[in-house]
Amino acid sequence: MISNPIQLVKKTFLKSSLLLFLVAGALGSCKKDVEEPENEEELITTVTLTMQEVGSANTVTAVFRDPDGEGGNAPTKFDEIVLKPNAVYNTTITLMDESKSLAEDITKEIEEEAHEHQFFYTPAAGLNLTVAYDDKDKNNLPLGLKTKFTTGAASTGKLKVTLKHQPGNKNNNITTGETDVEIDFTTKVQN
Amino acid sequence: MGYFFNFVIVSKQFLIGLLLLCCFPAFAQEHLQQSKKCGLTLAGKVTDQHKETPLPAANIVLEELNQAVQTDLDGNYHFHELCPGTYHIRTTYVGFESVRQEVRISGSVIRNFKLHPAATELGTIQISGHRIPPPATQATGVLAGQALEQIRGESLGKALEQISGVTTLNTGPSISKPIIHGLHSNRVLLLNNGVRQEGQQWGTEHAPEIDANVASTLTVVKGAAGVRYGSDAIGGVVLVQPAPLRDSVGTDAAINLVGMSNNRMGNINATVNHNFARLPALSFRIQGSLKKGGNAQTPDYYLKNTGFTEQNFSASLGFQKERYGLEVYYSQYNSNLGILSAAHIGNLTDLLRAIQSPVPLESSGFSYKINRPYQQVNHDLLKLSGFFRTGEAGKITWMSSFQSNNRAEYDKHLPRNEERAALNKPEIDLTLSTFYNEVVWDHRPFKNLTGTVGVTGMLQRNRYSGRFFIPNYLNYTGGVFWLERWRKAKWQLEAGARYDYRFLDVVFYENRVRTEPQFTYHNFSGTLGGIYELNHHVSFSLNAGTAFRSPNVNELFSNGLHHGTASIEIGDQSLKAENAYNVVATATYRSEKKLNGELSFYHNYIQNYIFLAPVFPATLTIRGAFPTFRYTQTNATFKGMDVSLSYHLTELLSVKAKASLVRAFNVTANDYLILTPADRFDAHLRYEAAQAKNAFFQVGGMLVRRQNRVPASPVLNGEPREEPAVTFVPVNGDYIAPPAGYFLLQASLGKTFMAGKQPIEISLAGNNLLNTTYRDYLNRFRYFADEMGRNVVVRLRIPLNFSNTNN
Repeated sequence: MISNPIQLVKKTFLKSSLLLFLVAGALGSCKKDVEEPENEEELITTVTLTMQEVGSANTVTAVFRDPDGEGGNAPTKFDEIVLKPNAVYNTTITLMDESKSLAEDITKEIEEEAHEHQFFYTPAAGLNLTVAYDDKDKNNLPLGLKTKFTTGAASTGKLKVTLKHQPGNKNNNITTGETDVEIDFTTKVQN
Repeated sequence: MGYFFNFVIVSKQFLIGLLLLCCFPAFAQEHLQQSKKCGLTLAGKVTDQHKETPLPAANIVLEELNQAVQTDLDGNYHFHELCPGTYHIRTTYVGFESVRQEVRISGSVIRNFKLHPAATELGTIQISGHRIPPPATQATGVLAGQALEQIRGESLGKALEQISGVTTLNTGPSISKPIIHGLHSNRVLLLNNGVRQEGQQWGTEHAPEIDANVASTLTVVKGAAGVRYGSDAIGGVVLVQPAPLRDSVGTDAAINLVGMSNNRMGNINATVNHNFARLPALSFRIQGSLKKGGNAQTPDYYLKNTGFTEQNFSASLGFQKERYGLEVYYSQYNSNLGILSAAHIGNLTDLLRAIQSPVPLESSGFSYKINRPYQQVNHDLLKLSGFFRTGEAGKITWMSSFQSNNRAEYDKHLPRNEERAALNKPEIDLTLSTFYNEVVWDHRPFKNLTGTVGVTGMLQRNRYSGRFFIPNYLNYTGGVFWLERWRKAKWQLEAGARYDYRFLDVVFYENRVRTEPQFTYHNFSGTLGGIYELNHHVSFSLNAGTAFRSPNVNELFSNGLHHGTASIEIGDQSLKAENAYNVVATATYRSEKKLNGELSFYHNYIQNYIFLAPVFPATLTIRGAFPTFRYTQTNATFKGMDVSLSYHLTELLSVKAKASLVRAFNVTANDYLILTPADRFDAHLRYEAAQAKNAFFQVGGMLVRRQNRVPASPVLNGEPREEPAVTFVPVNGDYIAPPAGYFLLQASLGKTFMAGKQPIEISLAGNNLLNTTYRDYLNRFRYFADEMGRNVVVRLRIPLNFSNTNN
């Protein structure tokens, strides 16, 4: 009376386990993904400073480029800024995302959200360079996409360029908010 | 067949139920008579489970009737004039673990109880009729019964901290991972209801995706246990075991409520068990829990954005006959965890600013709201299992499980592009699907030998979207093991071997170029252990075992910014598998009334130990310099000692103490290893009222020393990049020296109240009662913020019984 149902269960048990192993096989034969998953995240990979000397056709550019973003490969381009002494430069800064197949200009987005962003230009002590803001957001706070660089006597040092994202708390203070860009450009003021 | 009892079949109705009982040698004898009249007798005998000696003067309480009797000199007890119904019986005996059992009485019943000597870290254990596994030759710790009830509402990691030798690795107040003997993450295997938990456990800020509320027993096997449980069990194994399904007809339920003062956390857990009267082989359980907490509070400020929510659910349905059984189990874990916003750091300049600031740079008041950054984790588990006894050959158990783990990590800020921001997508999204099978054969005892042979196979697929952190891959593993145990008189010897194979097939894109690196790892592991019982009081156990762990995908491939920890992590594709050689020696002393204690020493040598070493200088990025960690391999030793003691000063007053010491050493570099738990000591004075059921008061504290054994020199970055302008002098290979030691005062009290016939268990516990300001070396956020301040926890448990007295 007892042995019959057990025989039956034995059979169904074997059947069901066989079935499960078949399922395992099916899962195993899944194709691996063909496409690289698209990273929708916004990266800033490239920062370009364009410095136009006032009263001259002389333009200086300095580029920092790290196409694969943070980590991974080291930056591919990290220029020095070379400026003339005792000169004034109208300077613009542009930001690009070159990690995507179609490079994106981030500068426009900064412009649109000017009241949440601010660039800070901090020359190291000993570098004879002063930077003045040349633009403002709707709340009359400095933005820094456009600036005026004024050089003094010949000197060398780092110029720290910082972009802060300060949503809702922009206060012209470098310690507020998130850091989106922070680059130390080696800057030479020389003849 | 080796089942040492007889039964008398009085009624055909009970045939099935009795057959079922054959599986459970814990019940020795049972005679049932069908009767619907009162005047029934419940009687039996209470014995020591190990020595089979009777326990005189043990207390037996029939909870529903509030009746208590004591056993006589031969350990016998009687209750007379009972009406049919379901009752709860609590058996207590000093020096032994109490047993609370449900008994369904429809005729006069004999029910025998076997009590298990109490180990110091054990609380009450609930034995409800399952075969008790043989004692492990490794050191083990168990949390069950009252000890488990007293930590309800805590995360799994925090709950396990009660066991000596177990500490936690924390990321803020809401993320805790167990560390066993100094090892954590992928080196600690989690078994959720018998299933290997397959989540993204590699991350130090990835908490186990398991609801601690499903467990009725939490067991920690300390030390390498690779042979039985599979690869990766280098540090140990955590077994999360739900109670067995109900084996007597009727319905019971329990509601747990927990409230915490510090983060205003509330937790509700409800469980319903049912066994069908018409089909006694069929039982089910449904369990669900909800949890919500807000910003945690240090003595001086709130930790902004440290709230969390959890919604969990599990259900199981079992059909058990004497010779075969089937079970379906499904569980779902959903959590949303806020990450301390002050810890989401931009770069090294910001990191230094955050470290130097005495208070977190972002502060807030109390809030339940979870803002970015946060993690959203979902884990689904479906398990099908069955067993059948082959009569002559033994027992075959089969288990198949499917798990799906999704982890979404949301960065602090939304994309600048408004269209993208509106989608509110996670920046990292990982989905891990795992299909796991196991067939185990417990062979028929042969002379003094019992043993198990098993085959396991696993298939796993990982997919990501969003930012790259670990690649897509397929992972195939297989294993075969054989364990034998020989018992004779005072000796038990265990030996086992295992072979593991792993094939890892990765799809990796580097600069848009697709590569498909493949990795094969295989390994033999073994275990040899023994237990020697010198006399009734003293026993010794010794275990030597090996375990292996092949490098995880993140250790091979991760390359980028880990926002959760604000650091860049660099993997290494040339990493080899780790091999652990572990020895644990344990001495146990059990006197029935006065002193109980356990002392264990361990030595774990890990060849090719993989760890994340900080490298200097930091990595230069467009956002400035970032702290950088590289996966590095070395030979390491982890050695230490766990001790736990309890001493009864009087019958009601006892002292409990435990200590855990770990020394982790980088043999290759002749230096200490980073992130090793500091020495900790724990002591409590406990008073248990004799009359009032479950009433206790306990006061004590925990002392954690400063970790002075930290690496002396930092590991240099293998690929030095442009020297960042921020020059940073590391302290002992870390960004900050280890924090000072601390002492926390704790107290708790509890009592069971009767509301009519309904028992209500209430307890009140206070942690960090002195509101001490401190930081812990094993908290990744020790750089930014203090630990939680005073926390008062109220716990309520209402066991409900809906059993039909007449059926």
